[in-house]
Amino acid sequence: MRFEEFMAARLPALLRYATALSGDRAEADDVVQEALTRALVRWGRIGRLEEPYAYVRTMVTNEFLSRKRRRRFWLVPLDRHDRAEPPPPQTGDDLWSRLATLPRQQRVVLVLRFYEGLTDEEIAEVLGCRSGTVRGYASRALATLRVELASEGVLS
Amino acid sequence: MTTTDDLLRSIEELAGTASDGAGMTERVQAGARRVRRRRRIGAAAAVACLVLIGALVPAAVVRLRADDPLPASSTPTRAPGQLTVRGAAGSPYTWNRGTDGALQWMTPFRKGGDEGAEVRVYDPGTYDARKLKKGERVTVGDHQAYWGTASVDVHLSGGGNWAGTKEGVHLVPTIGWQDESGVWVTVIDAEPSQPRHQPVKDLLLDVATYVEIGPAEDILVPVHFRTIPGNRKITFADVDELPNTSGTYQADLGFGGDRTPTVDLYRPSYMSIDTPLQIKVMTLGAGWNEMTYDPVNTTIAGRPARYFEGEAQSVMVPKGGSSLLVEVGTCGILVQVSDRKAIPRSALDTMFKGATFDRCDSLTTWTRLAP
Repeated sequence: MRFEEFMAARLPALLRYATALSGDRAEADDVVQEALTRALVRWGRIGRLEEPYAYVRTMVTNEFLSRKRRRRFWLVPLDRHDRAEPPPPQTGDDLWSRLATLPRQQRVVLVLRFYEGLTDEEIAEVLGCRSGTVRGYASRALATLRVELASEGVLS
Repeated sequence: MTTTDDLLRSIEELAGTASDGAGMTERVQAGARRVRRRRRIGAAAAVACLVLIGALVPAAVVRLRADDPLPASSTPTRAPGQLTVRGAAGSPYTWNRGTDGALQWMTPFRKGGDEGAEVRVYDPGTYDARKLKKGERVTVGDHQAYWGTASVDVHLSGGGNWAGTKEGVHLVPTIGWQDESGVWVTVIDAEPSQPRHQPVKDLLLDVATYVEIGPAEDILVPVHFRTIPGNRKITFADVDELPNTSGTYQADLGFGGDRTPTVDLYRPSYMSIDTPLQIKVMTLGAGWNEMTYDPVNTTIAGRPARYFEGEAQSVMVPKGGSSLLVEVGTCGILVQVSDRKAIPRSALDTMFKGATFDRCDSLTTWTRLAP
């Protein structure tokens, strides 16, 4: 798959994923842009993978997790639409505001688990940890959010 | 009661606020090649943090910790803004080069992409080669070198994390030798977590074969200022020697600042030069257009310009600093100041007075920094 084809097909999904992780559209754009930039450098290899999307999604995840340790100083071209960024969605129980308080690893686990539909083993592969660690993250996150677990096999 | 359905709905709603990604393709393409060069795999070892350098000026004094072995030479081989590393004639690679304080780097590219190797050249007295010297002796061209591992500080910001590499000091495959000029030349595996099409030793040996250290050459740039505020010296240069995928060129210059090679030195974001005065010059085009949504609001040395001390729509303004955007011919020039008390607007006016500019859509007219 050519990089341009991948971009055309997968950029919206990556942006949605990053926005779900971050809760901040501008940061999500930065995260995706940086991950894709590096992906393009390596596209000769990534493009031959069976699932380039999964690989790039891992890059986006790692980029998201790394950003809290990062300085941004130089130049951040802002999209013309950035000023019109919509507010975070208002859920009945203010769930997102609680989600935003979670440690980033826990947020990643929830988004990968519920939004991307990955298994704990697949999440563990993305994060480079054991599946038990993933379950621990999920358990703590859901406890913090006071989410009722009965309806889903969350801690599979 | 909050259910997992509520949670999924909340995440989906949030994801639905994502941007449409307008302009991202162009930004990604423009940035792709730059990432390789900005990969900040830091000073050769954490021990190197103990080395203090004054090598940013020709009369540099290199001081070593008392118990460090004295390098073979501590004579500066180049002035700020100069490079001594280059690719040999007949090389199958094309290269991008740059310098940050005591470090020069050169990234090899072959048709079809970059190979994941990086040439890093350390000014005399700034590289601790003890670890590398424990490696195997190999022959590179007509000289001896070491093949082994060397400690490098891998930073997330430069791309070291995207394939599972963790931030911190890593041992990476390295071929290195000390040139007769006293510099240490290393060719490292800059993507140690990546699968290879050939043994990494073969790759690094092949790249090393085409690395030359020669007389100091001025970095060629399209902008030439008679005066730099505070007479700051150039300390950072990352200059395109190959066109970006969109056919544009870019030169990033940094002036002043402490470029002591601590572990943190090579940490900055790939978008960060992190010097008191930063000048980015690029070919006019999509990348420039994205930074100039704000209308022209002033003149600088008689040229229409955009100048911001506070928030701007399309360019980040450092807190307490300023950003200036000027178009000259085929060039877009962004100047960013980290502290406008130290470098006020008037100093930028003075800098642009008498400045000369080459074309930015071709490298052939670029000349040394000083007019």
